[in-house]
Amino acid sequence: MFFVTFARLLKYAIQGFFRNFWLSFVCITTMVLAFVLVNVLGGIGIVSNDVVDSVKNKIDVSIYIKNNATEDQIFAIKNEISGLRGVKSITYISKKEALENFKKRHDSNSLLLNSLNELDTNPIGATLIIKADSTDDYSYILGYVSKFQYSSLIEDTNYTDNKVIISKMNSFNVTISKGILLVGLFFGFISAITVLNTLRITIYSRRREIEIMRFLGASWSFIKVPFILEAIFYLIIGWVLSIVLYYSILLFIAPYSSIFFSFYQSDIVKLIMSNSIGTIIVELIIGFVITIFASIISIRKYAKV
Amino acid sequence: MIEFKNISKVYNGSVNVLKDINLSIANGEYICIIGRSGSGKTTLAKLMTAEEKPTSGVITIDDWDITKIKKKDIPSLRRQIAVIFQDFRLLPKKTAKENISFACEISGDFGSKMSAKIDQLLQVVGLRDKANNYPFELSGGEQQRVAIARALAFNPSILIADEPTGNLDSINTEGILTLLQDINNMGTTVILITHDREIVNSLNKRIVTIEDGRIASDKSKGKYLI
Repeated sequence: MFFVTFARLLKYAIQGFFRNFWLSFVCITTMVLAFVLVNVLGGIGIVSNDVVDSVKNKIDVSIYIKNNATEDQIFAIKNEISGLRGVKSITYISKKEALENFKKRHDSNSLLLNSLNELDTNPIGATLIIKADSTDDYSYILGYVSKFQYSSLIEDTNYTDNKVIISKMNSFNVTISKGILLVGLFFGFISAITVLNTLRITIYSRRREIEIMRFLGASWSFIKVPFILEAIFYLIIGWVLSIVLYYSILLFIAPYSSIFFSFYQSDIVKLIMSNSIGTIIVELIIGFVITIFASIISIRKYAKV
Repeated sequence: MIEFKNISKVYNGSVNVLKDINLSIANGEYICIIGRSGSGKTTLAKLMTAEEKPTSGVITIDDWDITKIKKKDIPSLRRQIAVIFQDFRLLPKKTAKENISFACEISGDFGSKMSAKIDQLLQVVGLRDKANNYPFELSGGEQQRVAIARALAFNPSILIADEPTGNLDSINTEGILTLLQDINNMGTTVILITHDREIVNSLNKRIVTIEDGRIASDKSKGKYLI
């Protein structure tokens, strides 16, 4: 009997869905727009975080070794630093490579190059280039380096210059993340309220039907379940269509994205697609809760006969 | 047996719609409740279906005190006491057949037995050829017939007809009255609520007259005297 009853309730829901086509259409459209809006904001968040991360990844700190340091001492320094917490990689640039790099950088300055050639010795010291896991780790690493046993062999670092950039990047990242979270929450709330009210209006427009059913002696579940199932149809169809629309938009903008975002290497479409799955599933769950809640409170209101 | 014992109904603490109503209706009876608009006839019907609760007094249906009915038992009561209205109250997005089948389904009917019952009901009300029409495709008389067929789907022991012919022409009115008589002949208690003098006088049934919330007269074979 349970299956007979459920089949009937499902039949009523399907009938209601198709026979109130325009109401269904309006509800689904609202849901699609709400989901797409939240997805677009989520996408912007993913891209901006990735842009900041990629810029941060380009940041490194150079430790310039004094010219009198031997290669053994330099390797000892390298080994000690590479063992520190937060060090992602450390690259050794020998004195010879450092000189070549210097010459390449200043190949248009003939006076400087001629002066270098006049010298018998290589005045450029070796360099160690450190990349940290996080920009926050640089202050610890450089703090250690300034006090460790080989600190007398360190000529200089460019940490002070990079510190300002790192600090600005961190501050920018926090601001962007907070801003996107707030805007996302605001539009998420607006979307939720819109969906909730659309569902309420849909049920309001069919209140007479609910009253008649109640009056005929239909049990609470006989009235309630088909409306809830109908609302779930709206939700699932709206959700699927929003994904189709969202990814269609992404695929449409994909050829242009590489032009707008040429300063960093990521394929933003792939990036958004691979990072949006969690958000999209959470949206469905939240949508499900709102749908059930809106349906029950609305039906309850009009089924008091 | 339906019994109203000292029933009063007051709205908003001051509007006294029914005053000390005492009335007994036997099983299988055909009774007309008449009175002017606003006299309290429809409130009486609402009390019988638990749409309203009396301010004081007791209503029993076969010893079931429905003034103390629990919310969860109301659907069951409404499947025993079917009501038809002047405005038909058909489900607008369901065909004639689906309106009847909805009643059957909420009563727990299913399968071939239910299909046969629906066919039979459509035949009784003479609408087999319009089974798949939506209410808006039917005339007023046809819609009321569907409403009657739907009411009968519950196999009710009591049928309350609240101004069932109010929106119908004389030919359709006659058809509906004949149907109500047939239903009564099958053993169902019929309570006809109306203010139509001609209908009441043509029926020659028990007439209870409500005037200003009170029973003004109760005659076993009366005429409309107001």
